[in-house]
Amino acid sequence: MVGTQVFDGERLRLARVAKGFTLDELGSRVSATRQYLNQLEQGTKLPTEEMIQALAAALGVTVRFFTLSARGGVSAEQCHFRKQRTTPVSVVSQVLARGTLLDGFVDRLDRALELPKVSFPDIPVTSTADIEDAAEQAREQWMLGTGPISNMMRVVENAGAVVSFFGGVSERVDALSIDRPRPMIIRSEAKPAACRLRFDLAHECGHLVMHKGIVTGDKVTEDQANRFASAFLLPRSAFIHEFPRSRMLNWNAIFEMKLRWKVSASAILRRAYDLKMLSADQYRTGYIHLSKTGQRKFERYDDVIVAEEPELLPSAMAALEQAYPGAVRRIAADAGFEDDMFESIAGLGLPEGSGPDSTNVVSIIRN
Amino acid sequence: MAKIYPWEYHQDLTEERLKIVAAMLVDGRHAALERYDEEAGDNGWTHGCRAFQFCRHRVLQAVDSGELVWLTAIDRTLQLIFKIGDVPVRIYKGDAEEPTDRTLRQSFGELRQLEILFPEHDEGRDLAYRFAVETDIDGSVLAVKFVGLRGESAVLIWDVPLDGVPAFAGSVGRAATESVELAPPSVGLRTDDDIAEGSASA
Repeated sequence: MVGTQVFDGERLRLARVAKGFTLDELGSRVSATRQYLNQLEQGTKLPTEEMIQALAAALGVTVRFFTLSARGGVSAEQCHFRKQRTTPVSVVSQVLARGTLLDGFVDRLDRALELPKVSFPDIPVTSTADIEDAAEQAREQWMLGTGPISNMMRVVENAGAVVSFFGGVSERVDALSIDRPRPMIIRSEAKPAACRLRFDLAHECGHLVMHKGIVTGDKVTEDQANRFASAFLLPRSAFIHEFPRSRMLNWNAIFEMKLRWKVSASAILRRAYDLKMLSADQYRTGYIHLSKTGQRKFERYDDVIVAEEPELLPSAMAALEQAYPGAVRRIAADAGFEDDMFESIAGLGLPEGSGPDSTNVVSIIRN
Repeated sequence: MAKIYPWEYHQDLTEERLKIVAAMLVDGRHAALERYDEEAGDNGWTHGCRAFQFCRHRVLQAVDSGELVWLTAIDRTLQLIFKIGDVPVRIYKGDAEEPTDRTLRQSFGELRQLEILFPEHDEGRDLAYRFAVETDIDGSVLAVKFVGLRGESAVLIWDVPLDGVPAFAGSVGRAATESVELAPPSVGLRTDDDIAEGSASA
């Protein structure tokens, strides 16, 4: 039982915003007015035991969730996503709230498991040359050579980032990263095209490398992250060596490059333009060609290149579950999540079954 | 004591002058690389011709500009013999240590100039002075060496410092390395005892 004395209104707000509910929407689910819920969140009123249970059920959290001390939440400058400044405040808040909750879960996992050491270099940039250097330095640090990146997901996960999926978040936020002690990269689309996902991951990687402590989301920082992604996936020197040089665009060669480097033809054109290998006219012509042939959203060979899947979070949960059956559920419960809340922040379901009777198990969670 | 530096062979061959000429050669070769168009029919032969001519053009342009008073031309034909101060010099592409027959060939004008310039028994007299431009497999310039050739062997090789000379930023680049296969992210259980102890109350 939760005593009303320990109910934390901020935790209620966090869960509500993470679920994307307005005060009115939550009110209609628990038969309460928005004013009353607002007072609960402000801490000027305390809920009854029944109301706490109703709120927990409506929000997909345990009753215990409301009593947990609020660990430092994710702040706006730690969160990098496109068009942050033009994204509705409600969406931004939802992302920050889910990020905070996921961070809490990941932190618990981190204490129970040895996860890859976080190794994103911190390289502030100002010029385009700086960005090219940053991409080269990152490749060098992670010993990737100058060839095609075989698996971008593994690059960021081996560098210590957790990659997850936030279902039901506005499509305006296609991918974002959160700069925490263990960085998180979040997608809002479950299965984007493989090349698109790789580029998004490289883009977020760019934010984590170049924009530590910087508020992003404006055109300058977004362009920088795009340039980083481009330079990271298609290193300058190798690209110059391979890009077909001719007066007319050689589409066959461009699509061969796409298959080899697993980067979209449109990103290849852009890289060639950025490196002054294509004139503005040639670039425009290429872009129009892709558009006219219906390849702006779905390009040739998008169905051939296999999409990369996150492995770190699933393997961490599997390793924990194997060593201590029921442990993942216990960690989720410790963080105060019911199944659906867990799924909405981790993009994964909790393992089936409750495992051994928890009263007989020594928890590995260090509080 | 053996001579090591070009200016020890002749005072006109100063470091600064050699660097200026080397920069012209690098620029000429890289400008040619930028125009390389395989699809249009370029190959090693056309590129070699263009690269040599671009270098020749830069040297002659500098001669004609009159800005470098120490730089003059003896032979403006495709053989190109120019002078740094009074020393006749030619250029070739290839390894400094392995000159070819063509590289070794000396024209009458060049030999005559050397005879005038060096005393009869001076060891610099029977040397052929050359800039050797060494390139990477993709054609970008790796090094420019100032070479003194006696017979078939290079007795003077001085690597001209290219600091301040822009690296090639054109359209050839370098072949990518092999793609690196990455292992899945590693996950292990923490073994320190304090985890279990610290959480026993949870």
